[in-house]
Amino acid sequence: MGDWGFRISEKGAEVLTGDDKEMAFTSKYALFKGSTSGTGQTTVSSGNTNTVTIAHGLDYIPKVRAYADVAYSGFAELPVYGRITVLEDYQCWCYADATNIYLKFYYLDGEGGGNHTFNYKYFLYKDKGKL
Amino acid sequence: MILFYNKIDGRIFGTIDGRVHNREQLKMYVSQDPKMEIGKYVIGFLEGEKGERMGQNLDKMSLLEKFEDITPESPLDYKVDVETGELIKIQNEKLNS
Repeated sequence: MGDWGFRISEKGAEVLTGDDKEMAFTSKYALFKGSTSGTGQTTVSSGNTNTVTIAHGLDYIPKVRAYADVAYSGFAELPVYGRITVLEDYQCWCYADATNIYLKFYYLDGEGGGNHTFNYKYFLYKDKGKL
Repeated sequence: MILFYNKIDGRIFGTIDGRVHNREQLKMYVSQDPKMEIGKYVIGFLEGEKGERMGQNLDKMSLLEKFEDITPESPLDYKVDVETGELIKIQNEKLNS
């Protein structure tokens, strides 16, 4: 393979001969080449765990980041757990395999019978890296 | 943007962002109940195998812009009228009990 690719140098560095660490950007290494994102909402009954399954159509396990709005404090990156009130617990986490990404939402109302609606946002990054 | 909705009540429960969706992206789905029949409502373009683009619900592009910008307009505040296929803004409801 010849010397080809894409480099952007830092100020004062020679783009053709500079070290990789002098580059603001180089295509020499694996990097995220695109992403898919989305939003959603799921309502969890007390004591249950809802699973949001998103098929990504890739043949490898992608990097995924997800956020959920929890406990009136805005969106927090998953995994996150805590209490909404002294009697209401929640846990949110996510993972991926070569087919889907999975967002999990658990909610428990100590008084029973309640439910909670989580809003979520996810980002799926496309790059096989060295997999 | 692909909006995923419950075919029974039209409620939108998930989205995939973007304006042009290829076949790979169309394979994506969001499901929280395996028994739920899921509808897909696309605003933007579907991209064919040869790169051709087919517009979908382009009359909703101004609404899509609102979904994309920093205004609080969210696709989750809408539902699909299962009879007419139109998007309807739903009234604020108390979500948590």
